[in-house]
Amino acid sequence: MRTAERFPERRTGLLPALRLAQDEQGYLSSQVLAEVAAIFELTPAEVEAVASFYTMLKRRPTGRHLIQVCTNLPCALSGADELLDHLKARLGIGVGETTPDGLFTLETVECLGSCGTAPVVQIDEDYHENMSAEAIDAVLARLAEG
Amino acid sequence: MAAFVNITIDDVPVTVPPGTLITEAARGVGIDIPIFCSYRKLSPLGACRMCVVEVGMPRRGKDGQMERDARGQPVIAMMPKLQTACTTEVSEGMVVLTQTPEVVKARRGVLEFLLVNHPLDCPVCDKGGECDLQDITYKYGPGKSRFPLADKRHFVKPVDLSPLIVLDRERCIACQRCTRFCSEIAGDNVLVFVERGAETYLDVFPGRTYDCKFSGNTVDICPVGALTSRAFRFRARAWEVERYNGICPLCSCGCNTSVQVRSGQVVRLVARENEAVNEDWICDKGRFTYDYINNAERIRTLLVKKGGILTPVSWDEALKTIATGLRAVQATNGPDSVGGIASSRSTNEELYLFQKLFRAGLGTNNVDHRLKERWYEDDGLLGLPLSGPIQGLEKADVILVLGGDMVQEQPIVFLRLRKAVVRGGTRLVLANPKATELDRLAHQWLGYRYGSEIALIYGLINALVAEGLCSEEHLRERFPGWDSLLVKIWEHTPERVSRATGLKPEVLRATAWALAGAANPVILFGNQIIQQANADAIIRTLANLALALARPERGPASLMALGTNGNSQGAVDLGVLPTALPGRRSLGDGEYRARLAAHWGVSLPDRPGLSTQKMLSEAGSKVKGLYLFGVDLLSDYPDGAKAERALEAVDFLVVQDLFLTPTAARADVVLPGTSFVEKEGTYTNLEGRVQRNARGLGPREGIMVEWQALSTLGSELGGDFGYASSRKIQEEMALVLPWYRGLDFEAIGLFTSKESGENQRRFFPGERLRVPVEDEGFPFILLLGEPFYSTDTFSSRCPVLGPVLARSRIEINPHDASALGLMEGEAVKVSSPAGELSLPVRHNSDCPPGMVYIPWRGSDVNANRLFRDGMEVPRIKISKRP
Repeated sequence: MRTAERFPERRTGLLPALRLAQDEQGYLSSQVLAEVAAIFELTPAEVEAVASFYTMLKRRPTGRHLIQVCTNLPCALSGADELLDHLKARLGIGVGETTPDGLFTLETVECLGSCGTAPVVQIDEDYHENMSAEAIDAVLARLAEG
Repeated sequence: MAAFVNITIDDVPVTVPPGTLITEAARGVGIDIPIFCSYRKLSPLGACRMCVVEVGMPRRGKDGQMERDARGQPVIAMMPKLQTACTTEVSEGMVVLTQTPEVVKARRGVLEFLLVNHPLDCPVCDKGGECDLQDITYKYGPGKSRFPLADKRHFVKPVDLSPLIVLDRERCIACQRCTRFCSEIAGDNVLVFVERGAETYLDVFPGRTYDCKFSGNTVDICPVGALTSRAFRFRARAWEVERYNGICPLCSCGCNTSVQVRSGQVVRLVARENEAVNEDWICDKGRFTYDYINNAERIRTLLVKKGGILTPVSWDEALKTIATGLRAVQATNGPDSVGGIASSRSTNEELYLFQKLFRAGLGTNNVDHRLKERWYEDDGLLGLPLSGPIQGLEKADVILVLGGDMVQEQPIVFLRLRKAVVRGGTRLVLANPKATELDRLAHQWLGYRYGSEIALIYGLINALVAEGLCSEEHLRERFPGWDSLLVKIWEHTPERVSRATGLKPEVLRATAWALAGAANPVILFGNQIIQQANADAIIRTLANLALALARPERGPASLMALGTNGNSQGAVDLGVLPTALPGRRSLGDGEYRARLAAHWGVSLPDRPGLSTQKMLSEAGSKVKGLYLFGVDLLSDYPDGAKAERALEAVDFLVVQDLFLTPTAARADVVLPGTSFVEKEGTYTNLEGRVQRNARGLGPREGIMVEWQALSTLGSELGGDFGYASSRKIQEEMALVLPWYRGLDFEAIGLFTSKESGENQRRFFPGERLRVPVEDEGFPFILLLGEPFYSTDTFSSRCPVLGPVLARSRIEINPHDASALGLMEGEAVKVSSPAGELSLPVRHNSDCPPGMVYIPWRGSDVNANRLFRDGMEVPRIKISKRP
């Protein structure tokens, strides 16, 4: 509600509000979208259009940790594809899927802006740079321990 | 800014106003620029890139002067890349090239891309034959695609967006015409594009439907076959249909339609452009209410009751039976023992003949068209045109709407009002007893107590005077009656009025300021006024308000009625009223009556006739014979029990209708009626605009259309009714009635003359302030209304409308509901002094506390059991069922 009022044009606050809602719920359910729509005096469909446009806004639940592998050119040349194959095999899931224990969701992502340290993997809010199969395994093991 | 801009398109000089888009300028000189996303009623977008052209501008030197070559011609600097013609505005000296190799190549490229995912299922697509993608590809596209067929994007299809609209996502080219229609024209934003880039697709919110009263227009403007109509799907190909210019007879807007017929069946109605009336749009009710015309249960024979059973007879026998029957009733009971009630969805020609049949043929003024309407009880309103141009709403700076739910009842007029408010900045003041969908557009909303309209309006005039907002000198000088009105208005202070209306005094004062500040105010009133017991008094009061807003520099405010049916205006203009003659003249106008009598070659009765209300009250006593013309009295008369009693009581009943309605089943003689598609005729909309409806279908073999039946019957009764065509009736109307003098019925959309009706020049006398009394026995005020998808003779016989017809219900404020312990959906007993009904409860905070809303005709229950003639404001009580 306060987010809506911070902007001269109410709907300008929609994106920050959706981020907030996602932080709380982990994803944006239709129920949440309808509630946000009511706050911003928009139709649920308008909010759905925005929420589905941005890949960082999730319309389905993700695992506790979100693994995003950059597959753009510099990362690809530095072995991102092999890294992705390794992750798929290790987690036993495909891109866009979540492990049965609900711990990890695997995604690919466009350039993360850290080409100098390719290949790069973003897990939740953190960058993991110069990644190799061994390095990422260590990170995952640490995260799995909680 | 210059008034005109000169440009050249393919070396053709074009002069257009500044702000014109290149596409529009090109269309003006007949140069074709292909478009998909661009649509003249929607904002420019530039999404599809189909319209790219080369654009160059005169090069200017450092001094700002155009550079010229050796021959003195301006040096043109071409823009390095192609520009979208649909988003680029013209500017002085611009050069546009639409046929260069670069443009041709770009068009082929755009089309190749648009077709990458398109299924090319034209042979089974409804749009085939009238598809922009098909036509433009044929004209400008490559014959081959380099993309493999197997790689096309697939979706589940078709998807039902609503019971009326079906979506094929694979055909969609994401032009966004439909979503822009939703946000810019209808304003409901329920249709959106989700995802992005190559993943983009059209959708509604999960779990919802495309719930919009104008959804069919998206099918009309879809440039491909992505959006199709459930009712039309696979019924005909575009090139097989014959198209006729129709006029929608449902509501008083009078939208122009294209009626499309194949093999003797109406297969669809689509909007026909008329900038002055409906622009490019029609509402879904108008669009999808047509299958009744093809219905197999239509009455096809003439029926006469013999031994208690309706038996098929010949036309000759049926018409003779009617003539003999009516004459026999008159012979024993006098000329005024018969009466006629005609539907206000009839054509002008039918209405004219119908009243002439009664006045000239049968010698009585017992003729009416009103069922729920209660206006024109006397001849006092005939001098007020109560109409004005729909386009005028765009020029109004303040619009006051009183007692009308336009979104439900005149949806296309609502679109114009919305346009005025959203684009034109018109201020909207809404006064309604119940919240409506229009409210979100309103700058001021007055939720008054139903029945307190007069107090509200006089409260406004009082506030205008008290705040010094009236040009009193001017009013006193120009319009008689101002001072005597002032005497009555004195007691209507906003404070005292608030006891009657429930409105805070400051709300009335603010409204008075808003109205007084207007340069061009318009006042609209709707069915909640027209159908109220003291409608005439309220309308007179409104006329006083309109006049009180007059200023030396301009006349009074415009006052427009939002009439009930497609030809309500025509029925009034043509004197289908017991106290008015055709041409909006009072029956008491002896000179006019004599002139009319001379034209018709008869003597005309001067005794005022009986209104529908009185004919039914007097049925069995004074009135013994009734002719119901397209009227299902039992279903559509507001006092259901009275209609029932009246039909029991009359000796001779004639019903003319399309179907064997409950009323027709009681008749002694039944004549088959025809739909608007089966006959030629004109309708007058709420503007007073007479519009021509062409015949698209011949009536079934052996059936006379109404004007023929009425003519024959008139001749049978010994009158001069020998009309060879409906054109002959029009010629007589234009000759006989000053209101229609010189009207060329062949021309579309002319206004009836207003000069013969004297515009209001004086104030009507005022009224004392009345505060409604509470009734402990029946604690709730009952508001009855017509929902958008109401059930009637037509809509109930259109299968596609089945799922969307409004359900019967009682809407009640949630606080009232919880005080009574009423759950959502619970069936309750609703009783009034007239009768009782069982209805499911719907909680709705649109209803103020103390007032409930019930639709007149829901899907299964008719609320006319709760109403009794004579009730000023109906009241009810609610009890839980045991």
